[in-house]
Amino acid sequence: MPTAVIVDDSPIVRIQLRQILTRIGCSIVAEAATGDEVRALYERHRPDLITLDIVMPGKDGVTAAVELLRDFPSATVVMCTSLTTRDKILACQKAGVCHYLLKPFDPQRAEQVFKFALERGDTAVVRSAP
Amino acid sequence: MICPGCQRENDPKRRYCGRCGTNFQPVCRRCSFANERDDRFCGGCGAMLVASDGCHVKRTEPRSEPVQVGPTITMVAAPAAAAASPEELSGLFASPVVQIEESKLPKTGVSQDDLDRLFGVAL
Repeated sequence: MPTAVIVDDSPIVRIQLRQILTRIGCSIVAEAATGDEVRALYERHRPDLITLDIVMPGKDGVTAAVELLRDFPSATVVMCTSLTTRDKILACQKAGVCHYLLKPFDPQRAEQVFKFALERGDTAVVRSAP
Repeated sequence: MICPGCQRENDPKRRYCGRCGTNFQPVCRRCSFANERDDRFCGGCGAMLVASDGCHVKRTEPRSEPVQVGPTITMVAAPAAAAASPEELSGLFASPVVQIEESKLPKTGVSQDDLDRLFGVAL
């Protein structure tokens, strides 16, 4: 069963994401409300997917994603945010973020994005295997 | 060649920009494999390389050598037993091969469709 970590400062959004990810067969291994915990949670759980909000107390989601993907390029990160700032979007793409989901999101669209991200993560692992 | 970082003109033999130190050898963002400058796909994981990886940097001198298009491929019908299933084909083509250039991302009013195209997701 694929595993996921949800990082969002809104408890309501965390519940929503948990429901969506559970519906597609994902096990939520951890949740956090700030970007400061992302690296530690990734190292501890090595999840197949991380959802990251951008505007959060402490470290913002873009910084957390850039730092995580710099050290763990195989991590699969999906940004879940209402922010449509061009610079933020391009910074995420440049860092190697898998996808960028806009809030408020349609649950079915979110399911598709998460499934795609998980499949892409699997493909990357298979392709990079010797 | 023009440095993608600071736009300085550099000798094509250089591996790093003389002004800003940008590495001209494209390193895959996904698996960190060091690719050749003209590679379009990563040799380590197969991911598509984009301009921000450092590949496809603009050349200032015209290409003098003939362009090798590739060997002639004869298409033959595959035996039925080796035919790929729809699931296999869908997995194969789910790779992020469709990417729009950064300049095509709207400055305002970015939609989910724009983001799907930018991140190469065909939903």
